Amino acid sequence: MSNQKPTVLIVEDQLMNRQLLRQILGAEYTVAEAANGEDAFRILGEREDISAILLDLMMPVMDGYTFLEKFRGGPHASIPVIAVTADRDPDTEQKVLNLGAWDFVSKPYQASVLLLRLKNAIIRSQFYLLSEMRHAYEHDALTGLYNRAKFFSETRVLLESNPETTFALLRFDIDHFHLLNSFWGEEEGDRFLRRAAELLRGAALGIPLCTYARISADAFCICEPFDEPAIRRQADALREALAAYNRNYLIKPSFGVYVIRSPQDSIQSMYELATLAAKECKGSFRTFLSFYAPEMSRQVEQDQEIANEMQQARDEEQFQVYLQPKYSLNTEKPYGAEALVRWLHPQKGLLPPGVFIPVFERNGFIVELDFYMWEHVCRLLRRWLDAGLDPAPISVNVSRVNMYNPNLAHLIGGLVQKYGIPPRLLNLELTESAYMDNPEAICRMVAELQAAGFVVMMDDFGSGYSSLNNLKDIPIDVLKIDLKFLSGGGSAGRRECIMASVVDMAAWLDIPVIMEGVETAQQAAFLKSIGCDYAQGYYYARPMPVEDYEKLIASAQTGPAHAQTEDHEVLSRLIWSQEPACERLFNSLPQAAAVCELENNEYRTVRVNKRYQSFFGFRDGIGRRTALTEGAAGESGRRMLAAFRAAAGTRQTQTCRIPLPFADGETRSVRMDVQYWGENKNAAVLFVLFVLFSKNDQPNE
Amino acid sequence: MNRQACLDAGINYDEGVARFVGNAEMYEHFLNEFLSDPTFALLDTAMGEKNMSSAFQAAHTLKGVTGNLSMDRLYQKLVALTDALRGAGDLPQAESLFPAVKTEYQHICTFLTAQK
Repeated sequence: MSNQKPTVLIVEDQLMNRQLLRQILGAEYTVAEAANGEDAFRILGEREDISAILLDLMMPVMDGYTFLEKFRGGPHASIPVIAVTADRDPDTEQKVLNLGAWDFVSKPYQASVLLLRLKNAIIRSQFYLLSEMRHAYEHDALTGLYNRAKFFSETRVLLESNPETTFALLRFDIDHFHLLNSFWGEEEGDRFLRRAAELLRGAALGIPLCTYARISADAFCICEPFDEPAIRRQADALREALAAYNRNYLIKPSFGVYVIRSPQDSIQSMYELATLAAKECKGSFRTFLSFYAPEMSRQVEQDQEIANEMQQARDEEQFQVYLQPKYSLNTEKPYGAEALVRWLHPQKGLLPPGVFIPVFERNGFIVELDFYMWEHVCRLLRRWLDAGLDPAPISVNVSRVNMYNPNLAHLIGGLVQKYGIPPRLLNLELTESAYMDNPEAICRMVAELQAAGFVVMMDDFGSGYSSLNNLKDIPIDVLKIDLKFLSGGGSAGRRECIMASVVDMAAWLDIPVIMEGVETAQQAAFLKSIGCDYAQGYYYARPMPVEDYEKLIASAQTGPAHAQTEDHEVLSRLIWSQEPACERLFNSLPQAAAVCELENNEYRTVRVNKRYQSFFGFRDGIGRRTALTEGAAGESGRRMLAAFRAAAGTRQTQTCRIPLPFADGETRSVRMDVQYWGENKNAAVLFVLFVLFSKNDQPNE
Repeated sequence: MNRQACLDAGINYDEGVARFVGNAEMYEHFLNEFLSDPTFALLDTAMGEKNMSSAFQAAHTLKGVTGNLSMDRLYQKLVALTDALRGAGDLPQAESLFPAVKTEYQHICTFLTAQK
């Protein structure tokens, strides 16, 4: 309260009366004057400091009653009004009080009475203001429920007053509420929150011992006696009622329950554990209620521990570079390696990436770890170069976050420059899943990196759902596929078929493939058979410390396996080009034709033309192979293979006559002309024409 | 101004001063100002026109003024007149009361004029 005199507004039309009042009030108050109601409103609009109003009821222009009526709905309605009445009849007094006047005095003025009534009114209004403030201080403005602070203190009181009762906190919020809020608009969002508050209030009504509140945004909490079935029913009912608010949207609350076993803990920490429990329900449509369990805290604690130690770990170089060699399936020798991080913790020992990488991705430290690894690999390469060695490339991982760093090419470029490393020695592995967010940006990034001389690998190819679509747009140099994406479920044949096709496709696109996660000899053999270039996995070598890798390399001769002919490019363009001329040519051939590959005494059909389909009658893709593969059994197969091999070996056209199955169930004699076209890696590419055998042809045995 | 003379003229001087929070000067100033107050003239005209509502307004206002100035005798008469004019009003009653009001008013004015 200031030391200034409070200001009273006199509303009175008679000058003498105004002056008289000014005289009476002058000692204790500052006086503002208005000659009528309108004048009074104007002054109220201009001034913020009116503590009370003395209002004459009988005035021209706008009389006192009219003024009161207009006054009470308005913004100044909390200012006390004392009506000055000339008539001392009860009706007037009643009317005046009904209209919202706080008190009345009569004319002729009695100074002492007037001053007393005025003072009382001002004091009462200040109490009222204080209690309003207090209410605002303790309650949430939007819903009228207790706010966070009040809830915590009231809950503390509840617990202390009922030491024999076990209580629980039930806390809920709405999944993705910020999305709902932006769909609906803030006004509707507020309406929803008020409805939620109403529901909570309703639920609390039936519970004598409870406190409840809106803690924040869309988070509400109730503290009630612990009764598991009752709480589950309550959560169920609330969930249903909330969903019913607007069934056009998915309104899904997550409920977390914390049972209070040690009531001496702070309510805030209890609330935080209830929140932790509620988090378990996020992302799951079916789970909406979860009870807190200590394991939840442990995960959070672990994350926190790791976060606390990470800076020091980096500064003290506790992060180690391990290298897992890649093997060429052709030469069976190691060629390059992938750099993987391990954490050599002084107390906890060797920690695998699964423990800390997710934490770093969450808290952003992954960016620093990336750079740490790149720099350490650069140092390694530098050391090898200085020792006169000719090292094979080492690949490093680039995290999703860094993939969107516009400065990335500059950053890594600067690093290799600093250590004088030819960029082709530091391969970059980008994970496929990151492409999906913003393919265009990634494209530009990859192009930039390639322009700087880096070889860019797409890691985890096949893990995303837009692989094929991306591949046509993104200029990738190498594909890395993890075998685990192809394992499990489905028939064995299908899996192998897909793998073979992918390797084939990559071959036609001139992209080497590295298969990761090769663990058995059988897998290795199969990969070799389908033409895969490189493999990485425990079957070949585990990730190992740098010294072990250096020993391994020293004792083996290494060399790249990827070889190609220029023929291959021409062929590739011809076969796969969508140039109308080529398409038309291939499909307009009056004869059934197929393109096959022969490798190591096995052949496969790569492409067939339209005539082939109608010739044999098979319509579907599977049938494409059937005609030739079925015929591969027994004598027919042997002769076909012989023709293929002869064509590949002599590079001369070979002709043979072989019975082949047709779609109508008949087997007919077919003349095959096999032409050698060129090489695709280790396979010979053959062009085959089919004609129904007639007596006039000379069979070529 | 002579206190006793005021009391004799029907003006409760002490009460008046007290109302003006002891400021005798201001009180006497307003007593003088009363001479130029137009309200009685309005009342007179309204009564002449038998305009009950206007007469009521004027009588009510004049009642307030005289009350504040502690012109007790005139005030009392105006109380009665105002009641008679209130609401639907009792014109005969008002008309019977008005002459006394007028006389008293003129008395006061004479007195105040003499005091100047």
